[in-house]
Amino acid sequence: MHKRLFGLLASAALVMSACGTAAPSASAPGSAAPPASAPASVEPPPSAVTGFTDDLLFTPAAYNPETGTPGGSIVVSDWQTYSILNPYYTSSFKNSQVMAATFAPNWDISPDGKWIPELVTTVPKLSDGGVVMDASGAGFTINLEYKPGLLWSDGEPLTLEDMKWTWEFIMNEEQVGLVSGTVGWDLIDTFEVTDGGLKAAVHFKEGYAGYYGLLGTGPLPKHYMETFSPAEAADKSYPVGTPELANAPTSGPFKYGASSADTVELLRNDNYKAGSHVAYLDKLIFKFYTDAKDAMIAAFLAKEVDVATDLLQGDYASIQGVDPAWGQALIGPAWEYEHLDLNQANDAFKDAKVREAVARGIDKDALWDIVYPGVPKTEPACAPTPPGLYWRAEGLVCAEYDVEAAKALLTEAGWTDSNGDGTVDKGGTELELQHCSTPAPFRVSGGDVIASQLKEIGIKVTPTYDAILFEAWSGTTPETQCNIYRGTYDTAEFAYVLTLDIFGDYYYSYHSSQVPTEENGGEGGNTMRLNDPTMDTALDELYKTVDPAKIFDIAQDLQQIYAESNFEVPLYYRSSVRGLSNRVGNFVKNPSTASDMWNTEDWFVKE
Amino acid sequence: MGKYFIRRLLGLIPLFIAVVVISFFLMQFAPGGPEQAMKESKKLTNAQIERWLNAWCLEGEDSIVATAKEFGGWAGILNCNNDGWNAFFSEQGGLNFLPRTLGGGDNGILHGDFGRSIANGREVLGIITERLPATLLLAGAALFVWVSLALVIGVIAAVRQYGKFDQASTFLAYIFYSLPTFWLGLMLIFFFAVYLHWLPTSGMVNAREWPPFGTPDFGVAVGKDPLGAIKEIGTHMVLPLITLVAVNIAGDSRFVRASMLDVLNQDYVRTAKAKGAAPRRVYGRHALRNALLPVVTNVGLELPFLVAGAIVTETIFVWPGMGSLFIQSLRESDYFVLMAVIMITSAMILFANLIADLVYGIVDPRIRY
Repeated sequence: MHKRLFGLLASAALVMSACGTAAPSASAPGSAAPPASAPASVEPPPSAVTGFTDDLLFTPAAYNPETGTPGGSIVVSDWQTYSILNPYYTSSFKNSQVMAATFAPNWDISPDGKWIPELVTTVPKLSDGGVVMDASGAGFTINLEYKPGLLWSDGEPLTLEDMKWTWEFIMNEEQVGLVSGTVGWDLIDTFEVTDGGLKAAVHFKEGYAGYYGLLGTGPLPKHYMETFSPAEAADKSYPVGTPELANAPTSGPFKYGASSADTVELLRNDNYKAGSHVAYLDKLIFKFYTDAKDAMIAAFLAKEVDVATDLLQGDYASIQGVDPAWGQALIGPAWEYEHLDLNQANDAFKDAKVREAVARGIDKDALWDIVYPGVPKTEPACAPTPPGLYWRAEGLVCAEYDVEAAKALLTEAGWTDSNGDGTVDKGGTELELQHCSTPAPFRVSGGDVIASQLKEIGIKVTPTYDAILFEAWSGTTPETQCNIYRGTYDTAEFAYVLTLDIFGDYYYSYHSSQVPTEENGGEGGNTMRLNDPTMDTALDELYKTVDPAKIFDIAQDLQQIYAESNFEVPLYYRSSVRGLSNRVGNFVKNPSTASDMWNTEDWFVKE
Repeated sequence: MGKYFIRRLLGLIPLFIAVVVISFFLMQFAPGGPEQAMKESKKLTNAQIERWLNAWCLEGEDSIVATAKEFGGWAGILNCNNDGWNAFFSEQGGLNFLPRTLGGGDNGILHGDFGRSIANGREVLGIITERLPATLLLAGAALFVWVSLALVIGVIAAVRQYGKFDQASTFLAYIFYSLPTFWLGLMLIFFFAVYLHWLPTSGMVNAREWPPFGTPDFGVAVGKDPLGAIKEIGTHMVLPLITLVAVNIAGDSRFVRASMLDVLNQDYVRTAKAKGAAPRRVYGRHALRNALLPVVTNVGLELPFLVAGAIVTETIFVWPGMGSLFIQSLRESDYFVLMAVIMITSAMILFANLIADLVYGIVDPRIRY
């Protein structure tokens, strides 16, 4: 049940556009290269991957931040308002951004998609004894080692005792509100801390592929969290918008200062020991615009905020008008892709030819040009893995736009326009699809384009745009239309947000056991009701695999199955947009869940 | 006057209760509901949800009786821990709606318990207390500016009928009266803030220079530089204020003008002029005071629109008041916060109308209560 709960929550996080992800994250490398005079930069990843090596996952590109000038403050904005500041109770982007500056994880994600150590001395690996398989092969042990001298912002020691306590806290039966439940944590049977809290051996009783994502988030402060019962911790720990927040200890480069409903001030944490230095900035201020994205963009253009975040490619045109003397609009790949779900409960989609016909009937280039005029185009989407992720299968062959081929496929599948009304039919039933998506402008225009394109190949599509698409199971009934959890749609357009955790990214979305049903209380992320034995077999193998090389290989197979099956039609890879003022030094975009706040201790004010 | 005030105040109570009851029932019968919102809250255990549902009589049934019980529990009339007729009695044995010190209960709004936010678990009263000052500031300033400017513009336009001022004010009045509030707000932001950089785009203070409004740190900062704080908030208030009152000034200035013109043609005004009274005395003492009566009525009727406009304006300008809280709570299905906002807003409007009625007596000495 906890797995299904995690599946629901993970997928809920995955499907929401411009929201956070289920993966935990860590922060800047503790052993950053000595500061150089050149601006901070990250070299691009290799263009093709032929096989797994440790470098793919653990060796980041060089990061050379400038030496900053201490002092000053920078204002970061988000158009969604923060609500929770405990990393185990939320995965929303609006909250994760703030916590990226205040919570130091065990390991973080670099801008080029590698695990990098933060609290730990090195990220444990199978190849160096950091991850050790049991002799029986049943389970495995992860050996953690913290950097010496770590402190919480209130001066209390930060050790692996805190991490152990965090595991016990999560597993407490009174616990409520955990964003990912106890999935994975329940496989840990021993957590031995030694060496005065500097080392720990964490034993999993069986294989589990998601261990990096699981243990990456980092510890909660035992001495603070013990003051609440597990049942009330979700409400009382790190209380947003209250004076008490300033007393909550942090482990990152900043600690909490004054906070209100729409603003929180982060003050330099002089007890931050995980990095090579304390933060340069006196203050990092987060300003939230309560769902008023236009107000946030206006504030950036008016030079009131230094960094405007949480924007998509549709916003690029709005923010491009910034005065170049003040700032710039940055656009870069996000680990997200927009796609069309084909509900496998629809009998028509059980036929592979029909699915391929739909895929071939969509002109992705034209779709982009209409929905995002003037915005730099990303490469055509094929793999369910955006560029930048290390396991991305290059060279996959996906169904290309071909109207005639699409029509031929439908005919082969027995669908013909017997009555001449323009819509193909079979056995007296016309091929009519209910297309569902949210009312966001880019989805409305995108959906209309898809409807008109599929009409050309003889499929009648009726679009509906309603925020009910993502409503939770308990908020809907079997009669609710256009809800992905209830499966009351034929095609649905939304986005998946990916993390470095291959297991979390794919298992809960594609395994047949993860379909939301009445029996499991709607807890599942397989909203398209996929039930494919080949996919299930690969995912079952993935679940128990610990070796990253094998995980990588399975991921190649998964992507191949994906490309060949057309269960989904990937439409385009999304880009994320930021507004950045020229005042901010050492800003380096990070498309992962670590967010652009991954290196805030290196930020400084350029005068 | 005093007796009238008390009589009217007492008369407002059943009106207020009717507004609150109707709002409560309408919200309960809309799809969803607090019990559903609670069940979806990942912060609550099943035991806590059960406890909350019982404490607020939220049984999830869609019937008039069930909704009436929910209202009773929310209001504090019923003790939801008891069944049947016993629900009217507290644990102490007294009538539940009485204060605890008199043997009553401690649940519901009658006992100061507005519940907790379903979205973040905080006490509703605390949330409202944080947001109310911002709304009172904006709405109060808007009311003052609206009435003052409408009077001034209307009087001058009437006195100088068909003159350049009258024609210009008429032209502008028709333009501003036709503009949608949200569009006007966005255009003001674009022109004065983004393009000219004369005024800020949103919020109450500059985040770089001032702590967040309403926090203890802000209080300390105000103590150190009170004039600076006034200037800071005042500057941030200009654009939302214009957005909020432009339409009302446009409409009411025309109303004042028409009312003044009607009075200016009366015999007693002509007599005053013939007697050689100074123009200021004629227009101010004789004409304006008589012209004010219908204006006062109009202002009283338009007050709800000021509140409604504040919801839109606060959202556009990210003004951290009750209006933006209302929108946020609506989005998050935070029913207890929504009901509290509706209650307080209704009370403000009813009280403002009472004040408008009292102003009649001041404006027109013939009116006695």
